[in-house]
Amino acid sequence: MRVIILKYTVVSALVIASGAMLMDVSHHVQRAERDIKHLDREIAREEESIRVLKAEWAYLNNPVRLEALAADYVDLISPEAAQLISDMSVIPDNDPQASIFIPQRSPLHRDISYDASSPKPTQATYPTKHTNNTVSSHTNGGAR
Amino acid sequence: MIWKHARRQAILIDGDRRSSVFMAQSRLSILGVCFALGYLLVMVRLLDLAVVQNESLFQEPLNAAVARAQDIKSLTPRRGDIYDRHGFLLATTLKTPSLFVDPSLVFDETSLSVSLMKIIPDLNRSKMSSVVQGKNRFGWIAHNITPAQQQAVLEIGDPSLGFKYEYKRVYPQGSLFAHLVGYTDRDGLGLAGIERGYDDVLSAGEDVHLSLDLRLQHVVRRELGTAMEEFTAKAGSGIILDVHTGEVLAGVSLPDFDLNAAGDAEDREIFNRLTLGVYELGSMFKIFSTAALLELHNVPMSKTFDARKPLKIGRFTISDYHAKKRVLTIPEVFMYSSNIGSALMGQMIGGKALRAFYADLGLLDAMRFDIREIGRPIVPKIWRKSTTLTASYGHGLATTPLQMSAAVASIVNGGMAVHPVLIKVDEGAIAQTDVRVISEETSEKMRKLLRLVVTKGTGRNADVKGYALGGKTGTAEKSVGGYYRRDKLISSFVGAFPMDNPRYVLMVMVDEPHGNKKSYGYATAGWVAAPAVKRILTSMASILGLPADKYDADNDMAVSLEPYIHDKKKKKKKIGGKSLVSY
Repeated sequence: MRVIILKYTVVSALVIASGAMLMDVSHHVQRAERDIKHLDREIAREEESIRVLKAEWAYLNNPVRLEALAADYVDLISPEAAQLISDMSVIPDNDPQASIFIPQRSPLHRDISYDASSPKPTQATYPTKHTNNTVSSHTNGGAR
Repeated sequence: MIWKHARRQAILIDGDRRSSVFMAQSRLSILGVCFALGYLLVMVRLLDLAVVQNESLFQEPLNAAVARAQDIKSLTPRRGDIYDRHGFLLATTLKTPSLFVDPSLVFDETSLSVSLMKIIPDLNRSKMSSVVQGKNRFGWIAHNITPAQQQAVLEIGDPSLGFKYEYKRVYPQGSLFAHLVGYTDRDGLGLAGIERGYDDVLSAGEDVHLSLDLRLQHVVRRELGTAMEEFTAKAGSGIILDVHTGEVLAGVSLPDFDLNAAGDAEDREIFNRLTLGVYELGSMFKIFSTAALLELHNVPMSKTFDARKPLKIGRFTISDYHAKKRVLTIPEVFMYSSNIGSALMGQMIGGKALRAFYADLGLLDAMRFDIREIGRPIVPKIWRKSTTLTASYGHGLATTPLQMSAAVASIVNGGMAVHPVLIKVDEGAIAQTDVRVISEETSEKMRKLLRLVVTKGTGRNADVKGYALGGKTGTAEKSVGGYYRRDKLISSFVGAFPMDNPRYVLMVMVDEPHGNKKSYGYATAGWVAAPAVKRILTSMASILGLPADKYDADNDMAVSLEPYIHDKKKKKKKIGGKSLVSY
């Protein structure tokens, strides 16, 4: 008699426990699925912004733009055909006696040393505005 | 004793009966509990499905829009990207937000439109108010706004506003590849260029890698633009072609337009002068008639042609622009671009053979190419005796510039036919055709002749020391309303280098250039197109890292032709290079 009761109690406990475990697992699966969906969406969003950034990078590397920037900020001119060499042996190895052909070219307009702190000529582009300001400050000073 | 026994029996029977009742009862109750649990599970699951997992109950309209947009994405793949040969991005598709309004939720129209105007300056106010006052529960405010604008709109926090996501084709290089990359309509259907020619590939979501080189493209566009500006020309085109693979490394047609605003472009900007426009390119055809003569007739370079007086054939008079008025050898005819000499060559070749030779080079038919904007050459319908003479120096034959440069590539690359392609050819791929147009020997003779034009002839302004450029000028009068106009020229130059083993063909064509002070009033090819090719070659050499060979005038390819040049006077009194118009 007792054995029978014990048996049924154990069985029903097992049924309840497995039911609870099933619930728990399915809950976990659901949560994981929700996480996946969330991550997928995030990945899609990141991929989208990578695409946007790539497009922007390509836009910023437009040769017309780079050429204009180089003309403003880089104190170098394009190499001439004669300056290109085919192999390193053409460069003299510290031999002062070696006679080499150095192509003539026009001297640079500006100093070669690049100083980031010094204002670039392009940055002062509003001379009229500037003079106006000084004029107004002068008149102010006169009024005082 | 008996009673006792009987009672015991009764108890036993009774106990048996009781315990079986008890057992039945407990079995029923356990079964009942199980069923109850089962029903509970089903109920919980139902609740879970109906309420907890039903996202639409708790979702904002914005997320719904995202989800919808993602559904669209899963149905139609995003259009493939277009890259240049080194992987620079030329065209891509971005998902951009478009702003809409639900008028039924608008609280204060004035303040809404004021704050939206601040974010999107080109908003049409009257159009917006008509949308807001309309009866529909949906109205577009702005298509394809930027991420920054979207953020600003979100910050207004107006519940009546929402976003829908749409694909937008973006061309980061603006107008640089206008005619070859092409453009699409708003629904992503290719309308021109590669976008049209490879629409099926792109719309399936596959990327396309073009043969074009962004840097070379820029150089050609820049130098062509410079030449057009310098000589106040109407239009122009420029090409760099790989003579072995047929890959188009650069292809420019000017004026061009910004692909991101293709709808606003004018017709003259949209017109593709590279593959669609057909032009009489004049003396360039002397390359082919001379090659035909050398290929079909075993003539020595010393073979002479009498160019003493103009040639009269029927109502035609063929004359030289800068007549030498003497008997010319083949190299002389070529370097001075003598029309009379070429016409006599044509006569020697014969109409049928010349025509067949041109056809072999693909000059008489519309060519096959990766884009659909292909012009059909204009060829004389009836090929008379006089046609043979004039066709030998290009008169009356109009071709596309790309076709012309491909034919030149076939001549200089050793004689194998070249078909231009716009899709990148894998390195190490086998030569595309094994169709021979001319023999190896004829090709070498032609390369020498072309080099001679640049060292001594009409193309001297294109010479760059150390690069062994060879080429041919072509100046043609434009036919306007059936008449050839002396003041409207097409000046072009086609070159190839290095001439001992050519790798690249360069071509520049300038439409209606006007002479200036620097060119002493000349608007001919030697003054307009040849210097442009020279500048392209110089920049190209530094970009591709092609070092110059040590220049040695005595070892030049063309030196072997010098015995055939019988110029008496030293041409020192010239004002710059002499350019000769082919009719």
